[in-house]
Amino acid sequence: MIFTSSQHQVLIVLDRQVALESLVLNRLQKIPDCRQQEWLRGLLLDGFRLACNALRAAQCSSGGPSLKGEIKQKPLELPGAITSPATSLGVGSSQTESFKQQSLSHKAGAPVEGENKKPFSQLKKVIG
Amino acid sequence: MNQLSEEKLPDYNESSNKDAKEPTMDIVHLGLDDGYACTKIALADGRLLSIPSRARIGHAWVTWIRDGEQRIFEYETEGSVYSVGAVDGEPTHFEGYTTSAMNRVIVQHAFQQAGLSGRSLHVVSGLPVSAFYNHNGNRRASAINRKIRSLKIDTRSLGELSAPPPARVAFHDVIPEALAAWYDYVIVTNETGTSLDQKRVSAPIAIVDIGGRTTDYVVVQDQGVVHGSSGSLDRGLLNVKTQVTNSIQDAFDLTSISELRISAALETETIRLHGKDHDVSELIHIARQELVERLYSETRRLLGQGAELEHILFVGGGSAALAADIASWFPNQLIAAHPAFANARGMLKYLQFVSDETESS
Repeated sequence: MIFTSSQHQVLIVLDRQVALESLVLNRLQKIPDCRQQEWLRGLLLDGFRLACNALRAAQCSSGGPSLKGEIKQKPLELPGAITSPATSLGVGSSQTESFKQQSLSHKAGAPVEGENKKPFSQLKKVIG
Repeated sequence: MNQLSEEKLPDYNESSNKDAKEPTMDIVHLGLDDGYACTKIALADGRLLSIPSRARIGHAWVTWIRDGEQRIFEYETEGSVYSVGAVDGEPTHFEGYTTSAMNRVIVQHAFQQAGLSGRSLHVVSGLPVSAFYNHNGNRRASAINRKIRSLKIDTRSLGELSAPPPARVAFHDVIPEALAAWYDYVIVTNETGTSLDQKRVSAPIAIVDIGGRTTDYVVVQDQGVVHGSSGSLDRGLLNVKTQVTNSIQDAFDLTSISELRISAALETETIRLHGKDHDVSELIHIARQELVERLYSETRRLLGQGAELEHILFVGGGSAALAADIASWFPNQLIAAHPAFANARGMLKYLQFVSDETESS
Protein backbone atom coordinates (compact mmCIF):
# COMPACT_ATOMS: atom_id res chain seq x y z
CA MET A 1 0.00 0.00 0.00
CA ILE A 2 1.24 3.47 -0.84
CA PHE A 3 0.77 6.19 1.77
CA THR A 4 0.53 9.87 1.04
CA SER A 5 2.38 12.39 3.20
CA SER A 6 -0.74 13.09 5.25
CA GLN A 7 -1.34 9.46 6.10
CA HIS A 8 0.11 7.60 9.05
CA GLN A 9 0.04 3.91 9.71
CA VAL A 10 -0.92 2.83 13.23
CA LEU A 11 -0.11 -0.64 14.51
CA ILE A 12 -2.48 -2.06 17.12
CA VAL A 13 -1.98 -5.35 18.94
CA LEU A 14 -5.19 -7.00 20.12
CA ASP A 15 -5.21 -9.75 22.73
CA ARG A 16 -7.66 -12.65 22.42
CA GLN A 17 -7.54 -13.07 26.18
CA VAL A 18 -9.27 -9.74 26.60
CA ALA A 19 -12.93 -10.39 25.96
CA LEU A 20 -13.80 -7.25 24.06
CA GLU A 21 -10.65 -7.41 21.97
CA SER A 22 -11.42 -11.02 21.11
CA LEU A 23 -14.84 -9.91 19.89
CA VAL A 24 -13.26 -7.27 17.69
CA LEU A 25 -10.88 -9.81 16.19
CA ASN A 26 -13.67 -12.28 15.54
CA ARG A 27 -15.70 -9.61 13.80
CA LEU A 28 -12.73 -8.41 11.80
CA GLN A 29 -12.03 -11.88 10.48
CA LYS A 30 -15.55 -12.10 9.08
CA ILE A 31 -15.08 -8.98 7.00
CA PRO A 32 -13.55 -9.29 3.50
CA ASP A 33 -9.89 -8.28 3.41
CA CYS A 34 -10.53 -5.32 1.16
CA ARG A 35 -12.96 -3.78 3.69
CA GLN A 36 -11.08 -4.51 6.89
CA GLN A 37 -9.02 -1.30 6.86
CA GLU A 38 -12.07 0.90 6.42
CA TRP A 39 -14.03 -1.00 9.07
CA LEU A 40 -11.22 -0.58 11.59
CA ARG A 41 -10.88 3.10 10.76
CA GLY A 42 -14.60 3.62 11.31
CA LEU A 43 -14.48 1.71 14.57
CA LEU A 44 -11.62 3.86 15.83
CA LEU A 45 -13.31 7.11 14.91
CA ASP A 46 -16.67 6.04 16.36
CA GLY A 47 -14.97 5.09 19.60
CA PHE A 48 -13.16 8.40 19.77
CA ARG A 49 -16.38 10.29 19.12
CA LEU A 50 -18.09 8.43 21.95
CA ALA A 51 -15.17 9.15 24.26
CA CYS A 52 -15.39 12.85 23.41
CA ASN A 53 -19.12 12.91 24.12
CA ALA A 54 -18.64 11.18 27.44
CA LEU A 55 -15.91 13.63 28.44
CA ARG A 56 -18.07 16.59 27.45
CA ALA A 57 -21.01 15.25 29.44
CA ALA A 58 -18.80 14.66 32.47
CA GLN A 59 -17.56 18.23 32.31
CA CYS A 60 -21.12 19.54 32.12
CA SER A 61 -22.15 17.65 35.23
CA SER A 62 -20.71 19.30 38.31
CA GLY A 63 -17.44 17.50 38.51
CA GLY A 64 -18.88 14.14 39.49
CA PRO A 65 -17.12 10.92 38.60
CA SER A 66 -19.51 10.21 35.75
CA LEU A 67 -22.97 10.96 34.48
CA LYS A 68 -25.46 11.50 37.33
CA GLY A 69 -22.90 10.12 39.70
CA GLU A 70 -23.62 6.58 38.65
CA ILE A 71 -20.88 4.12 38.12
CA LYS A 72 -21.01 2.86 34.59
CA GLN A 73 -19.78 -0.66 34.42
CA LYS A 74 -19.96 -3.44 31.91
CA PRO A 75 -22.83 -5.52 33.25
CA LEU A 76 -22.36 -9.01 34.53
CA GLU A 77 -24.19 -11.53 32.41
CA LEU A 78 -25.53 -13.18 35.53
CA PRO A 79 -26.29 -10.31 37.89
CA GLY A 80 -26.93 -11.10 41.51
CA ALA A 81 -30.65 -11.01 41.14
CA ILE A 82 -32.55 -12.83 43.80
CA THR A 83 -35.43 -15.16 43.21
CA SER A 84 -37.89 -16.42 45.72
CA PRO A 85 -38.17 -20.16 46.30
CA ALA A 86 -41.35 -20.17 44.26
CA THR A 87 -39.50 -18.76 41.32
CA SER A 88 -36.31 -20.74 41.58
CA LEU A 89 -37.80 -24.05 42.56
CA GLY A 90 -41.13 -23.94 40.86
CA VAL A 91 -42.88 -25.08 44.03
CA GLY A 92 -45.65 -23.57 46.08
CA SER A 93 -46.51 -19.94 46.23
CA SER A 94 -44.17 -17.54 47.80
CA GLN A 95 -43.60 -13.90 47.93
CA THR A 96 -41.67 -12.06 45.34
CA GLU A 97 -39.74 -8.99 46.10
CA SER A 98 -39.96 -5.76 44.27
CA PHE A 99 -36.43 -4.58 44.01
CA LYS A 100 -36.74 -0.89 43.73
CA GLN A 101 -33.21 0.13 43.25
CA GLN A 102 -31.97 3.37 44.56
CA SER A 103 -29.35 5.30 42.80
CA LEU A 104 -25.89 5.25 44.10
CA SER A 105 -25.53 7.63 47.01
CA HIS A 106 -22.31 8.77 45.45
CA LYS A 107 -23.78 12.02 44.12
CA ALA A 108 -22.05 14.29 41.71
CA GLY A 109 -19.97 16.78 43.60
CA ALA A 110 -19.92 14.77 46.79
CA PRO A 111 -16.54 14.74 48.49
CA VAL A 112 -14.34 11.81 47.63
CA GLU A 113 -11.64 11.08 50.15
CA GLY A 114 -8.79 10.22 47.85
CA GLU A 115 -8.77 9.11 44.28
CA ASN A 116 -8.19 5.43 45.07
CA LYS A 117 -11.42 5.03 47.01
CA LYS A 118 -13.89 2.63 45.45
CA PRO A 119 -17.48 3.84 45.03
CA PHE A 120 -18.86 1.70 47.86
CA SER A 121 -15.76 1.65 50.05
CA GLN A 122 -17.94 2.62 53.02
CA LEU A 123 -19.28 -0.96 52.96
CA LYS A 124 -15.89 -2.24 54.05
CA LYS A 125 -16.76 -1.44 57.66
CA VAL A 126 -19.45 -4.15 57.61
CA ILE A 127 -16.72 -6.78 57.90
CA GLY A 128 -15.39 -5.08 61.03
CA MET B 1 -17.00 -31.21 34.80
CA ASN B 2 -16.47 -27.57 34.26
CA GLN B 3 -19.33 -25.16 34.30
CA LEU B 4 -18.45 -22.20 32.19
CA SER B 5 -21.06 -19.66 31.32
CA GLU B 6 -19.61 -18.27 28.17
CA GLU B 7 -21.65 -17.93 25.06
CA LYS B 8 -20.44 -14.85 23.35
CA LEU B 9 -16.79 -15.68 22.94
CA PRO B 10 -16.54 -19.13 21.41
CA ASP B 11 -12.95 -18.61 20.32
CA TYR B 12 -11.78 -17.30 23.65
CA ASN B 13 -10.80 -20.55 25.27
CA GLU B 14 -9.56 -22.18 22.12
CA SER B 15 -6.97 -19.51 21.67
CA SER B 16 -6.14 -18.91 25.29
CA ASN B 17 -3.39 -21.48 25.65
CA LYS B 18 -1.64 -20.38 22.51
CA ASP B 19 -1.79 -16.72 23.36
CA ALA B 20 -1.05 -17.21 27.03
CA LYS B 21 2.60 -17.92 26.26
CA GLU B 22 3.05 -14.20 25.96
CA PRO B 23 2.00 -12.90 29.37
CA THR B 24 0.43 -9.50 29.28
CA MET B 25 0.47 -6.79 31.94
CA ASP B 26 -3.31 -6.54 32.01
CA ILE B 27 -4.69 -7.27 35.45
CA VAL B 28 -7.68 -9.58 35.71
CA HIS B 29 -10.13 -9.08 38.59
CA LEU B 30 -11.94 -12.12 39.93
CA GLY B 31 -13.90 -13.48 42.85
CA LEU B 32 -12.67 -16.86 44.06
CA ASP B 33 -14.83 -19.14 46.19
CA ASP B 34 -12.44 -22.02 46.81
CA GLY B 35 -14.78 -24.39 48.55
CA TYR B 36 -14.16 -27.90 49.80
CA ALA B 37 -16.44 -29.45 47.17
CA CYS B 38 -16.18 -27.03 44.25
CA THR B 39 -13.97 -24.09 43.34
CA LYS B 40 -15.93 -21.25 41.77
CA ILE B 41 -14.67 -18.21 39.90
CA ALA B 42 -16.55 -15.06 38.90
CA LEU B 43 -14.87 -12.89 36.29
CA ALA B 44 -15.50 -9.26 35.52
CA ASP B 45 -16.55 -10.10 31.96
CA GLY B 46 -19.51 -12.04 33.36
CA ARG B 47 -18.15 -15.55 33.08
CA LEU B 48 -18.70 -17.98 35.94
CA LEU B 49 -16.59 -21.11 36.25
CA SER B 50 -16.89 -24.05 38.61
CA ILE B 51 -14.60 -27.06 38.88
CA PRO B 52 -14.67 -29.89 41.42
CA SER B 53 -12.12 -29.41 44.20
CA ARG B 54 -10.50 -32.67 43.25
CA ALA B 55 -6.79 -33.49 43.36
CA ARG B 56 -4.36 -36.04 44.67
CA ILE B 57 -0.69 -35.90 45.48
CA GLY B 58 1.74 -37.37 42.97
CA HIS B 59 2.00 -37.76 39.22
CA ALA B 60 -0.91 -39.19 37.24
CA TRP B 61 1.42 -41.06 34.87
CA VAL B 62 -1.03 -40.84 32.01
CA THR B 63 0.02 -40.08 28.45
CA TRP B 64 -2.62 -38.23 26.47
CA ILE B 65 -2.63 -39.09 22.80
CA ARG B 66 -4.29 -35.82 21.91
CA ASP B 67 -3.77 -32.69 24.00
CA GLY B 68 -7.39 -31.71 23.48
CA GLU B 69 -8.53 -34.78 25.40
CA GLN B 70 -6.31 -34.23 28.40
CA ARG B 71 -8.39 -34.54 31.56
CA ILE B 72 -5.71 -34.79 34.22
CA PHE B 73 -3.26 -31.98 34.77
CA GLU B 74 -0.16 -31.91 36.93
CA TYR B 75 1.07 -29.01 39.02
CA GLU B 76 3.99 -28.44 41.33
CA THR B 77 4.06 -26.23 44.40
CA GLU B 78 6.63 -26.07 47.18
CA GLY B 79 8.38 -29.11 45.71
CA SER B 80 5.30 -31.36 45.71
CA VAL B 81 3.54 -32.64 42.62
CA TYR B 82 -0.25 -32.93 42.43
CA SER B 83 -2.62 -34.28 39.80
CA VAL B 84 -5.81 -32.31 39.28
CA GLY B 85 -8.90 -32.96 37.19
CA ALA B 86 -10.38 -36.38 36.48
CA VAL B 87 -8.49 -38.12 39.27
CA ASP B 88 -9.71 -40.13 42.21
CA GLY B 89 -9.54 -37.15 44.53
CA GLU B 90 -8.26 -37.18 48.06
CA PRO B 91 -10.52 -35.67 50.72
CA THR B 92 -10.36 -31.91 50.94
CA HIS B 93 -12.31 -31.60 54.18
CA PHE B 94 -9.35 -31.46 56.53
CA GLU B 95 -8.25 -28.66 58.82
CA GLY B 96 -5.96 -26.31 56.98
CA TYR B 97 -7.21 -27.13 53.49
CA THR B 98 -7.73 -23.43 52.75
CA THR B 99 -3.98 -22.77 53.02
CA SER B 100 -2.76 -26.14 51.78
CA ALA B 101 -0.76 -27.04 48.70
CA MET B 102 -3.77 -29.05 47.51
CA ASN B 103 -5.93 -25.95 47.64
CA ARG B 104 -3.31 -24.01 45.75
CA VAL B 105 -3.03 -26.46 42.84
CA ILE B 106 -6.83 -26.74 42.53
CA VAL B 107 -7.12 -22.95 42.44
CA GLN B 108 -4.33 -22.72 39.86
CA HIS B 109 -6.15 -25.34 37.79
CA ALA B 110 -9.31 -23.26 37.96
CA PHE B 111 -7.33 -20.23 36.77
CA GLN B 112 -5.97 -22.26 33.87
CA GLN B 113 -9.42 -23.57 32.95
CA ALA B 114 -10.67 -19.99 32.92
CA GLY B 115 -8.03 -19.11 30.33
CA LEU B 116 -6.01 -16.99 32.74
CA SER B 117 -2.65 -18.61 32.06
CA GLY B 118 0.14 -16.06 32.32
CA ARG B 119 -2.15 -13.36 33.65
CA SER B 120 -1.65 -11.16 36.69
CA LEU B 121 -4.64 -11.46 39.00
CA HIS B 122 -6.33 -9.37 41.67
CA VAL B 123 -8.35 -11.77 43.78
CA VAL B 124 -10.82 -11.68 46.65
CA SER B 125 -11.51 -15.01 48.30
CA GLY B 126 -13.12 -16.09 51.55
CA LEU B 127 -12.87 -18.04 54.78
CA PRO B 128 -15.72 -19.62 56.73
CA VAL B 129 -17.18 -17.23 59.30
CA SER B 130 -15.75 -19.17 62.24
CA ALA B 131 -12.31 -19.19 60.62
CA PHE B 132 -12.47 -15.46 59.91
CA TYR B 133 -13.74 -14.23 63.31
CA ASN B 134 -12.93 -15.44 66.80
CA HIS B 135 -15.63 -15.81 69.45
CA ASN B 136 -15.37 -12.12 70.35
CA GLY B 137 -16.08 -11.07 66.80
CA ASN B 138 -12.49 -9.97 66.15
CA ARG B 139 -10.65 -11.00 63.03
CA ARG B 140 -8.31 -13.97 63.20
CA ALA B 141 -5.47 -12.00 61.66
CA SER B 142 -2.97 -14.85 61.46
CA ALA B 143 -5.38 -17.21 59.70
CA ILE B 144 -6.40 -14.49 57.27
CA ASN B 145 -2.79 -13.58 56.52
CA ARG B 146 -1.89 -17.26 56.02
CA LYS B 147 -4.59 -17.53 53.41
CA ILE B 148 -3.55 -14.30 51.72
CA ARG B 149 0.05 -15.51 51.50
CA SER B 150 -0.83 -19.05 50.43
CA LEU B 151 -2.18 -18.14 47.02
CA LYS B 152 0.93 -16.11 46.29
CA ILE B 153 3.22 -19.13 46.58
CA ASP B 154 4.50 -20.25 43.19
CA THR B 155 2.47 -22.99 41.56
CA ARG B 156 3.36 -24.14 38.08
CA SER B 157 1.96 -26.50 35.50
CA LEU B 158 4.07 -29.52 34.68
CA GLY B 159 4.69 -30.57 31.14
CA GLU B 160 7.35 -30.11 28.60
CA LEU B 161 7.25 -27.24 26.18
CA SER B 162 3.48 -27.28 26.17
CA ALA B 163 3.15 -26.32 29.85
CA PRO B 164 1.22 -23.06 30.09
CA PRO B 165 2.66 -20.31 32.28
CA PRO B 166 0.93 -19.94 35.66
CA ALA B 167 -1.52 -17.23 36.56
CA ARG B 168 -0.02 -15.17 39.36
CA VAL B 169 -1.87 -13.51 42.21
CA ALA B 170 -0.63 -9.94 42.60
CA PHE B 171 -3.30 -8.78 45.06
CA HIS B 172 -5.34 -10.95 47.40
CA ASP B 173 -7.91 -9.97 49.99
CA VAL B 174 -10.00 -12.31 52.14
CA ILE B 175 -13.52 -11.74 53.47
CA PRO B 176 -16.02 -13.97 55.38
CA GLU B 177 -17.63 -16.34 52.89
CA ALA B 178 -21.31 -15.81 53.67
CA LEU B 179 -20.80 -12.06 53.93
CA ALA B 180 -19.62 -12.12 50.32
CA ALA B 181 -23.16 -13.11 49.37
CA TRP B 182 -24.42 -10.03 51.21
CA TYR B 183 -22.24 -7.83 48.98
CA ASP B 184 -23.69 -9.65 45.98
CA TYR B 185 -27.16 -8.91 47.35
CA VAL B 186 -26.76 -5.18 47.99
CA ILE B 187 -24.56 -4.20 45.03
CA VAL B 188 -26.78 -4.52 42.01
CA THR B 189 -25.37 -4.69 38.51
CA ASN B 190 -27.49 -4.51 35.40
CA GLU B 191 -27.44 -3.14 31.88
CA THR B 192 -27.63 0.46 33.08
CA GLY B 193 -24.73 0.28 35.48
CA THR B 194 -23.99 -0.60 39.07
CA SER B 195 -25.83 0.77 42.06
CA LEU B 196 -26.19 0.25 45.75
CA ASP B 197 -29.65 -0.90 46.80
CA GLN B 198 -30.17 1.23 49.92
CA LYS B 199 -33.28 -0.69 50.90
CA ARG B 200 -31.33 -3.92 51.02
CA VAL B 201 -28.39 -2.29 52.80
CA SER B 202 -30.57 -1.02 55.65
CA ALA B 203 -32.68 -4.16 56.09
CA PRO B 204 -31.70 -6.78 58.68
CA ILE B 205 -30.94 -9.98 56.83
CA ALA B 206 -29.54 -13.44 57.49
CA ILE B 207 -27.38 -15.26 54.97
CA VAL B 208 -27.30 -19.06 55.16
CA ASP B 209 -24.47 -20.45 53.05
CA ILE B 210 -24.71 -24.24 52.69
CA GLY B 211 -21.33 -25.36 51.42
CA GLY B 212 -19.34 -28.56 51.08
CA ARG B 213 -17.79 -28.88 54.50
CA THR B 214 -19.43 -26.04 56.44
CA THR B 215 -22.67 -24.13 56.61
CA ASP B 216 -22.12 -20.47 57.39
CA TYR B 217 -24.57 -18.12 59.06
CA VAL B 218 -24.22 -14.35 58.96
CA VAL B 219 -26.74 -11.82 60.21
CA VAL B 220 -26.21 -8.26 59.00
CA GLN B 221 -28.03 -5.41 60.68
CA ASP B 222 -27.29 -1.69 60.55
CA GLN B 223 -24.31 -2.45 58.32
CA GLY B 224 -22.68 -4.62 60.95
CA VAL B 225 -22.37 -8.35 61.58
CA VAL B 226 -24.45 -9.63 64.52
CA HIS B 227 -21.93 -12.10 65.87
CA GLY B 228 -24.32 -13.68 68.35
CA SER B 229 -26.39 -15.03 65.47
CA SER B 230 -23.50 -15.74 63.13
CA GLY B 231 -21.14 -18.67 62.92
CA SER B 232 -20.33 -21.89 61.12
CA LEU B 233 -21.72 -25.38 61.43
CA ASP B 234 -19.31 -28.15 60.56
CA ARG B 235 -21.77 -29.80 58.20
CA GLY B 236 -22.24 -29.60 54.45
CA LEU B 237 -22.85 -31.58 51.30
CA LEU B 238 -19.65 -33.57 51.74
CA ASN B 239 -21.23 -35.19 54.80
CA VAL B 240 -23.82 -36.70 52.47
CA LYS B 241 -21.04 -38.01 50.26
CA THR B 242 -19.17 -39.52 53.19
CA GLN B 243 -22.26 -41.19 54.59
CA VAL B 244 -23.28 -42.56 51.20
CA THR B 245 -19.77 -43.95 50.75
CA ASN B 246 -19.95 -45.74 54.08
CA SER B 247 -23.45 -47.03 53.40
CA ILE B 248 -22.53 -48.40 49.98
CA GLN B 249 -19.43 -50.08 51.37
CA ASP B 250 -21.51 -51.68 54.12
CA ALA B 251 -24.36 -52.70 51.81
CA PHE B 252 -22.12 -54.29 49.20
CA ASP B 253 -19.37 -55.47 51.53
CA LEU B 254 -16.65 -53.40 49.87
CA THR B 255 -13.40 -52.41 51.52
CA SER B 256 -12.99 -49.33 49.34
CA ILE B 257 -14.66 -47.45 46.54
CA SER B 258 -13.37 -44.60 44.41
CA GLU B 259 -14.43 -41.02 45.00
CA LEU B 260 -15.24 -40.60 41.30
CA ARG B 261 -17.68 -43.54 41.42
CA ILE B 262 -19.41 -42.11 44.49
CA SER B 263 -19.76 -38.72 42.79
CA ALA B 264 -21.38 -40.42 39.81
CA ALA B 265 -23.67 -42.40 42.11
CA LEU B 266 -24.85 -39.22 43.81
CA GLU B 267 -25.80 -37.78 40.44
CA THR B 268 -27.50 -40.86 38.96
CA GLU B 269 -28.67 -42.54 42.20
CA THR B 270 -27.30 -45.81 40.84
CA ILE B 271 -23.92 -47.46 41.15
CA ARG B 272 -22.43 -50.05 38.85
CA LEU B 273 -20.70 -52.85 40.70
CA HIS B 274 -19.63 -56.26 39.41
CA GLY B 275 -21.14 -55.40 36.03
CA LYS B 276 -24.60 -54.54 37.36
CA ASP B 277 -26.43 -51.32 38.19
CA HIS B 278 -27.70 -50.99 41.75
CA ASP B 279 -30.26 -48.47 42.97
CA VAL B 280 -28.81 -46.40 45.84
CA SER B 281 -31.51 -43.71 45.96
CA GLU B 282 -32.68 -44.79 49.40
CA LEU B 283 -29.16 -44.56 50.84
CA ILE B 284 -28.79 -41.07 49.38
CA HIS B 285 -32.21 -40.04 50.69
CA ILE B 286 -31.33 -41.12 54.22
CA ALA B 287 -28.02 -39.25 54.14
CA ARG B 288 -29.68 -36.09 52.81
CA GLN B 289 -32.38 -36.22 55.44
CA GLU B 290 -29.82 -36.46 58.23
CA LEU B 291 -28.02 -33.40 56.91
CA VAL B 292 -31.24 -31.45 56.41
CA GLU B 293 -32.41 -32.16 59.96
CA ARG B 294 -29.05 -31.09 61.39
CA LEU B 295 -29.10 -27.91 59.32
CA TYR B 296 -32.67 -27.15 60.29
CA SER B 297 -32.01 -27.39 64.01
CA GLU B 298 -28.89 -25.22 63.80
CA THR B 299 -30.69 -22.67 61.63
CA ARG B 300 -33.54 -22.42 64.13
CA ARG B 301 -31.09 -22.18 67.01
CA LEU B 302 -29.28 -19.21 65.46
CA LEU B 303 -32.12 -17.42 63.70
CA GLY B 304 -35.22 -18.48 65.63
CA GLN B 305 -38.26 -17.93 63.46
CA GLY B 306 -36.56 -15.11 61.62
CA ALA B 307 -39.54 -12.85 62.25
CA GLU B 308 -37.46 -9.72 62.80
CA LEU B 309 -35.39 -10.31 59.72
CA GLU B 310 -36.43 -8.82 56.42
CA HIS B 311 -35.19 -11.90 54.60
CA ILE B 312 -33.28 -15.12 55.08
CA LEU B 313 -31.14 -15.55 51.99
CA PHE B 314 -29.94 -19.05 51.12
CA VAL B 315 -26.77 -19.33 49.05
CA GLY B 316 -24.10 -21.92 48.29
CA GLY B 317 -24.07 -25.12 46.30
CA GLY B 318 -25.99 -26.88 49.06
CA SER B 319 -28.90 -24.47 48.70
CA ALA B 320 -29.28 -25.62 45.12
CA ALA B 321 -28.82 -29.31 45.89
CA LEU B 322 -31.20 -29.25 48.88
CA ALA B 323 -33.63 -26.73 47.41
CA ALA B 324 -36.67 -28.98 47.75
CA ASP B 325 -35.82 -29.78 51.38
CA ILE B 326 -35.37 -26.17 52.53
CA ALA B 327 -38.14 -24.60 50.45
CA SER B 328 -40.52 -23.87 53.32
CA TRP B 329 -38.30 -23.18 56.30
CA PHE B 330 -39.18 -19.47 56.57
CA PRO B 331 -42.01 -17.46 55.01
CA ASN B 332 -39.57 -14.64 54.27
CA GLN B 333 -36.77 -16.72 52.75
CA LEU B 334 -35.14 -16.26 49.38
CA ILE B 335 -32.80 -18.40 47.36
CA ALA B 336 -30.21 -16.47 45.41
CA ALA B 337 -30.10 -16.83 41.65
CA HIS B 338 -27.42 -19.40 40.84
CA PRO B 339 -26.80 -19.78 44.58
CA ALA B 340 -23.56 -21.72 44.15
CA PHE B 341 -22.00 -18.59 42.65
CA ALA B 342 -23.40 -16.00 45.08
CA ASN B 343 -20.20 -15.89 47.15
CA ALA B 344 -17.90 -15.69 44.12
CA ARG B 345 -20.03 -12.91 42.61
CA GLY B 346 -20.00 -11.05 45.91
CA MET B 347 -16.23 -11.40 46.20
CA LEU B 348 -15.83 -9.97 42.72
CA LYS B 349 -18.15 -7.05 43.53
CA TYR B 350 -16.26 -6.43 46.77
CA LEU B 351 -13.03 -6.29 44.78
CA GLN B 352 -14.47 -4.01 42.12
CA PHE B 353 -16.44 -1.58 44.27
CA VAL B 354 -15.34 -1.83 47.92
CA SER B 355 -11.82 -3.16 48.46
CA ASP B 356 -8.79 -0.91 48.56
CA GLU B 357 -6.37 -2.48 46.10
CA THR B 358 -3.63 -0.06 47.07
CA GLU B 359 -3.30 -1.82 50.41
CA SER B 360 -0.47 -4.33 50.53
CA SER B 361 -2.13 -7.71 50.42
